[in-house]
Amino acid sequence: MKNIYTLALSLGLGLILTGCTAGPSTPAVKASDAYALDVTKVCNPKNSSAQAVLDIAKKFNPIAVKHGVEFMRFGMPATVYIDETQKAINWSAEGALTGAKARDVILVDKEGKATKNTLSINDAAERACKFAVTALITDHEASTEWKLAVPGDEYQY
Amino acid sequence: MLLKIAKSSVILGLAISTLSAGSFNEQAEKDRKALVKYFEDKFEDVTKNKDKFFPYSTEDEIKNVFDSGVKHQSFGLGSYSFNKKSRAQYTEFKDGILPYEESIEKGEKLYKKAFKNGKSIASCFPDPVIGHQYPVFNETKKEVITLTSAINDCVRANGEKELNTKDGDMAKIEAYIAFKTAEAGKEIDIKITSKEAQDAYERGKKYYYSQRGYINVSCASCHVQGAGQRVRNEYMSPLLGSTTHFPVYRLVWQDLGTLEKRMSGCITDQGQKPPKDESKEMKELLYFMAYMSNGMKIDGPDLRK
Repeated sequence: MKNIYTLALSLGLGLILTGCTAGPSTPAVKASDAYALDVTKVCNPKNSSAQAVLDIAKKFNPIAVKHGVEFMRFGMPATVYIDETQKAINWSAEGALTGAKARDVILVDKEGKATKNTLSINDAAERACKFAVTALITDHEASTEWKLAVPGDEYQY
Repeated sequence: MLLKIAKSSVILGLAISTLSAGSFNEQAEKDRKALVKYFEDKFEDVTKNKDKFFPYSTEDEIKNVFDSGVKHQSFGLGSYSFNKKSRAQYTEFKDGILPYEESIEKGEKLYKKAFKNGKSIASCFPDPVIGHQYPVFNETKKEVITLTSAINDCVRANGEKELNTKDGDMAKIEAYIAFKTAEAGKEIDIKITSKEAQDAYERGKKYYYSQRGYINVSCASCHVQGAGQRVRNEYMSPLLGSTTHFPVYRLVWQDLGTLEKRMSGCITDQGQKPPKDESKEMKELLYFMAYMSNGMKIDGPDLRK
């Protein structure tokens, strides 16, 4: 019995040390992965699906948040677009099984309260994706172009 | 002999440190002077400069709205410095009962009001004539401190609940401080005295000039290159002098608000989630903006559309 405990403990420790418990490793997403993307193409749900497009938003928006450049429209940041779109996708998927009617994405105000405005799932997913990817592209472009606007530096008039 | 060497070393040391302190703001001074020149050039002769700076303005605007020959100190009035029509309305308003007068009185009471421990904001800032010195770079903490964060630091240090950074009591206290500072005839006096302060200024500058948000514009798109251009029915104000008159009573707010409130609104309009009011990004942005107005008279609180 004691041997079994020792074996289990050793095996567990071995797995932890070799990183086997973490599962297959996925390469970390970098901001630079967004720079070469064709936003109109990759963010179009008609080319894939609303969920696939939303997954792109989920991949890049956390980096935009980290860089302090998250997009926001009428008080609704990209993070909330992503959350609300996912809720609507899940609702519609469950509805397909239970027979409940699919619903659009509910837009919320800056306090997070639901407004009367809605957006189709495809449009909301596209917007979330475009916001997430473009925020990083804009940030990247600005890092080299901002001095063009500075009087006394590169701005000529 | 030894005493002479020691004296000489002290004098040399002081001279070197003075020279170094002076050089940390060298770039900022260059930027400020270039900005003053840009705005004075732009508004020197609006008719002559129409194609260069005001390509979208109508002949009527050029003739009947804009003023020419606007000089450095005048830009503290924002768009009223060059817009004859808006300035006439502003002057009319200023001749009447000002909507922020009561806020100055309330601000004075709040400034003197005792916390639970018996101290007050006046204990932290015994002289209210401080509006011209903020934002200041704190060399101990190695960070920019805005007037808003300094007041909240005082409130927090005394065990009180921090104030809303956008309006309410904070704006009233700042109105009193601005009023006393303006009354004392002070000019904005932002200092950059270390490498860290210089870096903070540079980050603030980069933030100001970087395009952002889904609209893909920078603060400068509207308030440097775009100053004087019309967006819907409003003429955009210049960066130069943009921090001299806060807090402001805005007619669209129907309330007195802090500089942080205004900047959050601007960044939101750009289509980006704004940084928090006491964040490093916001404080460094205001540090840069205030430096650009160095040498301009404090004129707050004031009134804006």
